[in-house]
Amino acid sequence: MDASSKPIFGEDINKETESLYKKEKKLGEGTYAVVYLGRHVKTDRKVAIKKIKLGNARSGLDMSAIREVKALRELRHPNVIELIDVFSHKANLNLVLEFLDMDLEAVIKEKSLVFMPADIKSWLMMALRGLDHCHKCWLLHRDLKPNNFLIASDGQLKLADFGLAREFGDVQRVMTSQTVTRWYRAPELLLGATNYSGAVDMWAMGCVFAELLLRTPYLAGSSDLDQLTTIFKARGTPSEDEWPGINKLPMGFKFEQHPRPQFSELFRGASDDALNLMNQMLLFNPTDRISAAQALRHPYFTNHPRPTEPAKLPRVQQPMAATADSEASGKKRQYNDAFDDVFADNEGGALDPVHASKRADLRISSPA
Amino acid sequence: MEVFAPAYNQNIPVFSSDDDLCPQCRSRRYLNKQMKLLVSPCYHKMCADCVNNRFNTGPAPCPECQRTLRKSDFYQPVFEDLTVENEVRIRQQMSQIFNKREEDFKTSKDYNAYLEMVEDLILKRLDGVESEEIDSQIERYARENQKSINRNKKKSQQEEKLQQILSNQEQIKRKKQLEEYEKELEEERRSKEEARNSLINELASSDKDVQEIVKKNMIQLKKSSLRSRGTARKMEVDVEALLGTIDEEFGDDMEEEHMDTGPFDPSESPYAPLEVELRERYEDPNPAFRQGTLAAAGVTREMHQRYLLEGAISGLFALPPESTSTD
Repeated sequence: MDASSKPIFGEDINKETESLYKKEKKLGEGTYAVVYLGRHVKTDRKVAIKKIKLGNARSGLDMSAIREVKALRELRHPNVIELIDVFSHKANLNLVLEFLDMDLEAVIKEKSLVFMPADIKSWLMMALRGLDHCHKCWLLHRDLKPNNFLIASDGQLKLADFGLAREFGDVQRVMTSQTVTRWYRAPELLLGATNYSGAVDMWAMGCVFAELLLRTPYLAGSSDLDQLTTIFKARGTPSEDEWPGINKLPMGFKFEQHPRPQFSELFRGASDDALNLMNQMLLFNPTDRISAAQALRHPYFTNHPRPTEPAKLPRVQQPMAATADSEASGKKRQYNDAFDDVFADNEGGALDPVHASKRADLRISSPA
Repeated sequence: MEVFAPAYNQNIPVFSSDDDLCPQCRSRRYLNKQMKLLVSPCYHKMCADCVNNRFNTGPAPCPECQRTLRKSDFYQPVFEDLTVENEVRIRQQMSQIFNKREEDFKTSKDYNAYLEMVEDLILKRLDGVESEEIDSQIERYARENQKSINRNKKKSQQEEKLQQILSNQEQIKRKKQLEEYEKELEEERRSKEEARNSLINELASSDKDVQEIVKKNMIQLKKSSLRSRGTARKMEVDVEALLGTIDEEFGDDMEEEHMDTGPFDPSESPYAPLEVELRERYEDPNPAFRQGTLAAAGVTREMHQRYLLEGAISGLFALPPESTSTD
């Protein structure tokens, strides 16, 4: 291509990018996006094209689309979904993403598959490597759960759905606590923290680790308050010694006391080092909770057995087209709707009365 | 509080969805998780509360079709589609009466004719032909074949019992065999480790030729692995037959796992770490950390300082990315 035909204007660049990809078929549809299977015209590489719906022109582009583009432009790692290109078509924004046909949730739910300890170790290691990279780039994922861990055809696990991702590390700006799918939400979020760290992602990672061992969600609360109760029942109610400053959090009141049950009772068959790592990922005090980088240096990963090669990991026999790139499929919203419409607006501003009243409901007994 | 019998069997879960709606009081499962949606013999839905209200004083007409119903007529549905529910119930009822088996007939032709007749009756019922003729036909059959019906009923009860005992025994057997298998795997692992350790010890202590020692030990290692591979294979067949789920290459995988000892780093990353060294103390006028709220949420002073420092220097010497629009 000589210099004269090189596009200079944004519109022309956009047109050229668009011409590189062709859409083949629809894979799934969610509240804010439609996902198509596509191909790169020249290289024939399979891609997923995520078309962001602009249903509500008044409010402009969906916040999560902006978050996703912003986050993924910063990241490139074998264990993070690749954003290949972005182009607009008419009024729609199209994200060209790496095509991944399976998610970890489908694998966990396929009860005919047997997970060896080495398989779980391999998945967790890949997930932590991806997350460590995000945290090194000062990005929080904020929606880690099995169906946002996509699996490539070569078995590599990749973090996906950065629709709730945002930068962290700054203490000046307020962050919303209404984030992360409830079952994977860290206690500091449930207690209304408005600034938090990578520890929230590590809590979710700990829940996923437990889910890999149990084959069923570990902390499945039915409401936000119930989620806290579920956590306290499973991990014991934390004391002020264990989590200094808990009462200074917006919703840190006195809670019903639950004793701490033995981990190994529920997780029979899990090795001691696995339980030790999981315990550190699910510590109440976020300052004490293990970070992704520290977790990767935990003896669990270097002890026997060696993590399974990605290509040899158990797979779902028939990948469902509908769950391909499930981040946009409707099913995600089933237990996501609790904060669906909230997360974008609360950031930086005062809480609206609806959520303020929710907070009041959470109170069991306020300290004298 | 009375108990509404779940349909058919305790083991089958009752169908329920968030969209369930009682047509009488319009309450929804979405708002009332405990709602029990029951079905009448005329296949009309109603929640347990409505049933209690309406039928507490005795039989009353169905609000939809005016058929006279009692509280005990209602049951919990298993299937979402009530026509399927209907068919399954009718077949269930019919199989109580028409329970003859193949061995009760002299020829398979007779048996086929019998099956044909039963199927005809079921289909007529399904079509809603509730004429007295069919009812009387069924009744007549039941009366005439009272003996054989009772006999077959007893037979199937006995068979069920036997099946249960057998499956219990089978489970115990499976458990035992699985335990033995796991024990063997563990032993194999241990013996290999010992062999490896002795190789290392020998290498460290003796002054023989290194290559000779390695060769000798490799042969030994291989031998033992071959032997254990054989036993693993044998056991694999048994366990697979028992569980039916274990991967065919299970044994091989375990072998490879032990053989593959190439080094790997769990915290491996395609990026070089950004070297930032924090000083012990900074003059930090930021009042945010004084209250302790941030620390309770996991935001530490150290993390914040690292963030600011890294933000100041990261990407300083990075090359601009290759533009995708130029070749």
